Order: sequence, then C-alpha cells, then structure tokens
Amino acid sequence: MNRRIFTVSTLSAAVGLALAAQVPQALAQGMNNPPPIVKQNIERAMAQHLEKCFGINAVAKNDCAEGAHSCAGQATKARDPGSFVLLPAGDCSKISGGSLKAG
Amino acid sequence: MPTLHELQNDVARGLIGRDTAAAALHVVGDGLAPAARLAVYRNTIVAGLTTALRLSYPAVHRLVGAAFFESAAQLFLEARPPRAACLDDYDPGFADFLAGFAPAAAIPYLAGVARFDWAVSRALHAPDAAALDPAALGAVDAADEKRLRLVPHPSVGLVRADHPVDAIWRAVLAQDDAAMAAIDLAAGPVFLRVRRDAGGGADIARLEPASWRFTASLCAGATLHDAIQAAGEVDAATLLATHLIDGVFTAFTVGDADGRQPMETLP
Repeated sequence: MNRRIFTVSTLSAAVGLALAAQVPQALAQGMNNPPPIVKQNIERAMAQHLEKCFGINAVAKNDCAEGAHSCAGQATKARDPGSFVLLPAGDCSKISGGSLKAG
Repeated sequence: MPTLHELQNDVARGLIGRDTAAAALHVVGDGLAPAARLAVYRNTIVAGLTTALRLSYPAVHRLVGAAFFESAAQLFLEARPPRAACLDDYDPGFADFLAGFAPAAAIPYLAGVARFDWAVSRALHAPDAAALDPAALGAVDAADEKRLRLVPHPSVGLVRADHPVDAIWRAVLAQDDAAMAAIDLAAGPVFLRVRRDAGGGADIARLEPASWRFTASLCAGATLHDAIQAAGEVDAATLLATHLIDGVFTAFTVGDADGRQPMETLP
C-alpha cells in the first residue's frame, strides 16, 4: 500500500502538502495513510512541570552553587573516594524488569 | 618560582583532580590550612558542575537517586571537566559515560534516558531560528533533489533507544508511579524526534523506524535523494511536509552532486 514515492516527485509533493495544510491536523485528515508521526499527548501538567524545571536552570546553573553556602565550602561536598555511593536508589526500582544488584 | 603555566596546572590538579599537594605549596594559609582553602574552591566547582548535570539530566537523577547521581557525576567531571564556560553545554558525554559505568549496568535503559534527557535539554536551550518557508522550497527544480540538502533547526534532536525512554522520562519526571510500573522494557526500540515547539516546550514525537532514518539522514546533511534511498520504505513526501509544517528545517542548499560546494543557499 504505502509505496515509496518516486524521488522526482517527492519535493513538489511535500511542498504542495505543506502549503495546503495550514495546521498539522488538516494534513493528517487529508491523508490516505496514517500520519507518519504520532504525536504523544503531553498533558498540560507535564508541560508546566518542565517549564518550571527548566525555568530554574538558567539561574541555578550559573549561580555559585545555589547561594551563600557554597562559598563557605558547605555545598554538596566533593566526596571522599571511599564514600562513593554505587548503588542506584531512585525511581528505577519502580520500573519493572530492573533488578538492582550492584554491578 | 613556578611559571604561570605550572601554577595553573598545579591548581587545576588540586581542584579537578584530588592532588592538592603541589597547589598547596603556592597557597598562603593565613589561618586556614592551604588544603582546606583549596577545598572551598574544589567543593564549589564540584557542586556547580554536579548541579549543571542534574539540571540537564533530570530523569537520570530521578532514576538513580541523588546520592548515586552525585557520585557518578563526580567521577565523570574528574574524567571530563568542562571545555567551555557555558554550563548549559555540560555535557553530552555523560550518556556515554553512564553506558560504560559498571555500577549502572543493572539499569540497561539509563544511558538511553540520558541521551533523551540531553536532547530535551538541547531542544529547550537551543537558539531561535526562523523556520524554512515551504514556498521557498517550491522554487527548487525537482531534478535538483539529488543536490538538495536541508538545514535542521538547532532545537531538533533525533534519539534512537532500545527501550521506551520517552515513556520512562515522562513517568519519572511526573512522579507517576502507575506509569512507571506500566512501562514495558521489552516493548522494543523507540525512534524519537525532539524539538522546541512554538510555546517554548519540548515537542516529542515517535517516528516509524524508516521515517526516523529518513529524518536523521536529512538532519545529518544527506541530500533528499540519498535520505530517501537510505530510509527504505517511507512516505517521504508526507513526512517532509510534516517536518516543514513543524519547522524542523530552517534553510536549504542546492550544491553539486557531492554537496561540497553549495551553489545557492536560501533562508
């Protein structure tokens, strides 16, 4: 069904489709085949979370390690080589299929 | 007296490495031991770089936990300190580091999530650029498809991963326990396109494998003709139209067959 379109017609066809479609939805509805790209639903809450998360970035990254304490050497301290934490203890345990043995 | 170069090297070894002995010789204690003075700077650098990595790799941070992340980050930054001043650029190499990091071997999808984290971070921080007007492409002769190359928008990233890293990323950042439990690690590889949308957020799309190969080839600078050939079975026209509508490309060139010398470049 979904035959390769000959090279010679690809560009003009693409331009025609792009110009004809004012919005992606119109393109999807006008096509015989399913859209090649399936947009995933990103809920508004997720978007807000990201904006918040990355809104902080620009400040925090260039901050002298988040305020006054770093300059007194009290921020996340450089770890002693002997005190490295080498066992993941985050949300990976909530994802099935992951066994959490060290190494 | 050491030369400035020697002094700088000694201090760098004391700050990024752990060998403070040489640097301490040049530090005036004045009430605080030289090594302790150096440690203030060392801690500031380690904390700053670790924070930079945490903000660029938020899903990795969630997956492994703060303590493990900080340890991994410190090992990484000692092996690969920043080469540039901008901390937003630090550092795409972290994913490769995690891929070879033995303590993370129990999390086979971690490096993939890291690559996706980075692609999203890049998408959100990339410079603005005007999208290519499809009408401008209409002026290109169809016979020139073998010489036509498209320039991707700086925010566009293409990630292929063996696990559903986009679903993992979304679930852990949303702290959605049910979504995390529902993830099927054996669901097969995912082929993702990441870009910044008009609202400044991350637009994440799953592509079919052939569509992804076509898109990745185009974004890597292949001619339209070669991208179609490399992709295999793909509806190139519809896919290209979708990318154009989404603003995936910013410009194009029509060069010779080898593409070495563009004859014209249009915005």
